[in-house]
Amino acid sequence: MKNIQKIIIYIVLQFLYRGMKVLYKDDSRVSNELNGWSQNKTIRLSVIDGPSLTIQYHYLKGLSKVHRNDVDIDITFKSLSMAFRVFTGMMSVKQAYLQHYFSLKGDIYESMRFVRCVDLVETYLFPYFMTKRILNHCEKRYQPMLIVYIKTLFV
Amino acid sequence: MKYFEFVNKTKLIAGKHALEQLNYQCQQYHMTYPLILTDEVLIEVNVYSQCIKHLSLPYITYSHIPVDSSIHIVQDIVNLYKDNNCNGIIAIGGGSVLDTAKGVYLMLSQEVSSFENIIGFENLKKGKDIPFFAIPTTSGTGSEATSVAVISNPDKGIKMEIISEFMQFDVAFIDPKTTLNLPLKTTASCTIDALTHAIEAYTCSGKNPVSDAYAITAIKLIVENIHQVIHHPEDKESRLALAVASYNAGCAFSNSMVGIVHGIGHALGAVCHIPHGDAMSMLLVPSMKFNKDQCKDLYGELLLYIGGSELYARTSKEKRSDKTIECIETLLHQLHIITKLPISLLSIDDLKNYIDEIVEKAMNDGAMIVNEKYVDYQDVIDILGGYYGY
Repeated sequence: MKNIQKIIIYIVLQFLYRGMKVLYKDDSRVSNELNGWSQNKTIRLSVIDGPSLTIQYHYLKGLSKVHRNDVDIDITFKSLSMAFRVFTGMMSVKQAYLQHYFSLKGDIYESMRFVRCVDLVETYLFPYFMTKRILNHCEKRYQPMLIVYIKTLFV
Repeated sequence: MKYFEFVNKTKLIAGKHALEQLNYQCQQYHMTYPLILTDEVLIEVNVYSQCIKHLSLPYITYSHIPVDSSIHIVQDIVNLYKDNNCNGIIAIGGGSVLDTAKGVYLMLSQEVSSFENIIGFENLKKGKDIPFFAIPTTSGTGSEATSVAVISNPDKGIKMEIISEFMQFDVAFIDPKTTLNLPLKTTASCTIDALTHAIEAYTCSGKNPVSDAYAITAIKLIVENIHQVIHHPEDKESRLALAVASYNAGCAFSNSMVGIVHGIGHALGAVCHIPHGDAMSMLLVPSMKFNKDQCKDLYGELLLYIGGSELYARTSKEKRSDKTIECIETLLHQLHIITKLPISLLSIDDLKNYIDEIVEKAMNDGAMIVNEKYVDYQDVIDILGGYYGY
C-alpha cells in the first residue's frame, strides 16, 4: 500500500510541476504570483519517507526541475498518508495547513504565492466536483482542462 | 469534529503578588544568572524596577529593544548572552520585547548562527533547555502564551515569522502592577487587540473546542472589565482581568490562528506605521461585516458573551450576528470618546496612496488563508476603501 501511495504521490508531483510550468505561460494569475517574488526562488516539496520534488523558479522566465539541497522554501509532509490525501485532491493546501500536515522552512509570507499557485493548478487538473469540495473558492479556468492536460503531458 | 492540535506548555502565575514568585521560580528552573530583556520606556516608568526588585540573583540587562525589533538586535543579544555565560532569559515588556526574546531563545536553544535558519512553520526540533520567563507589561499581544514570533529583517525590508511550539515560555507572570500605569489609549488599543484575537480565534477556519474555551473566557473578561479599567485605571482587579484575558486570547489564537483582521492589520501596520492595536480597532468591524455571511452563526453565538444573556435572549437568532457587530461598534465608539482610540480607517492620512502596497502585503499574510471566508485582492481593496463602512 505504501509503495502504491509513493508512486501516486510521485506522479501527482510531476503533474503539479508540469501544470504550473504550463500555466506560467498560459494563465497570467500564475505568472503574476510567481513574478511577484522579484527574484529566483527554489521550492522543495517532500514527504518524509516518500518522494520529493524541487522546483526552480527563474525570475520572469519560468520553472524548471532541479536537484539541490539549499532551497528557499522547504515544505515537508509529515507522513505518506497525509501527503496522499493532499495530492489526490481529498484535501486542500489550506486544510492541510490547518491540520498541521506539513512543516515549512523558509519565509512564510513568500510561500503564500506558491500556495495560491497550487490552488490554481488544482483548479485545472482536478475535476470541478473535487475542487468544489476542498477549496472554499473555485477560480475561473481561462483554458479548457483538456488543453491544459495535453500541454502538461508534452511540456 | 475536525482534527486539531493544541499546545500550551507555559506555567501561568497570575495575581496581585505574582511577581513575588520570580526569585523562587528562577531557583526552581536553575536560573542563576539571567539575561533580562526590556525596553527604555519600561525603565523610565519604573515597571522594570518593580519587577527586578523581587530578584536576589545577579543578572545583566539589555534594554535597547525598539518597538519594531530586528534580527540585528536579536543577534546582539545572543552575543551578549554568550559572552556573559548567562543561563536563562527573563523578558519584561510588550509584544516587541517578548518576540525579540523568543528570537534570542530560539537562536540559543537551536544553536544556530543565523536567524534565517529558524524561520518557518513547525520546522524546528526541540532545542536545548534554557529557562525562559515572560513578564508581559501590556494586555494585548498575548505573546507570553503564543508559539509565534515576528522579527523584522531591515536588510531585506521584510518581517520574518516563526511558528514553533518550541519557543513557548516556561513561566509567565501576570501581575497588575505591570499594567497599572499603562496610558488609557494604549490600554484601549491593547484590549481591542486581545478582543480581536479572541473573536478571530473563535471564527476562523482553525477553531477547535479547546481554543474556543480560551477565546470565550477572554471575551467575557474583556467585556466585564474594560469599562471599569477605562473609568478607574487604578483598579488592580480589573487590570489583572484584562491581562488574563490577553493571555487567554493568546492561547486561543496561537492554536486556531487568526484571520482577515490580522492579515490586513499586519500590512497596515507595516506600511502606514500605526500601532497594531489601533489597526485592529479600525479593521475589526469592517472585517466582521465582510465575514458576516460566512460566520453568521458564530458571530451570533458571541452575542451571549459580548452583549450579555438578556440581550442574547431577546434577540432573534436571525439578528444576533448584526447585534454582536453593533455591540462592538458601540464599545469602540465609547473607547474612542474617552481615550481617543482611532477607530476609523479615515484617520490614516493618505490611505488611498498606500492601498496597493497594503493589499500586496496582506494577501501574503498566512492569516488570510485561514479566514473562514475566501479573500481575494478586491475584497481587501473594498474593506480599505470603506465598502463595509469606516
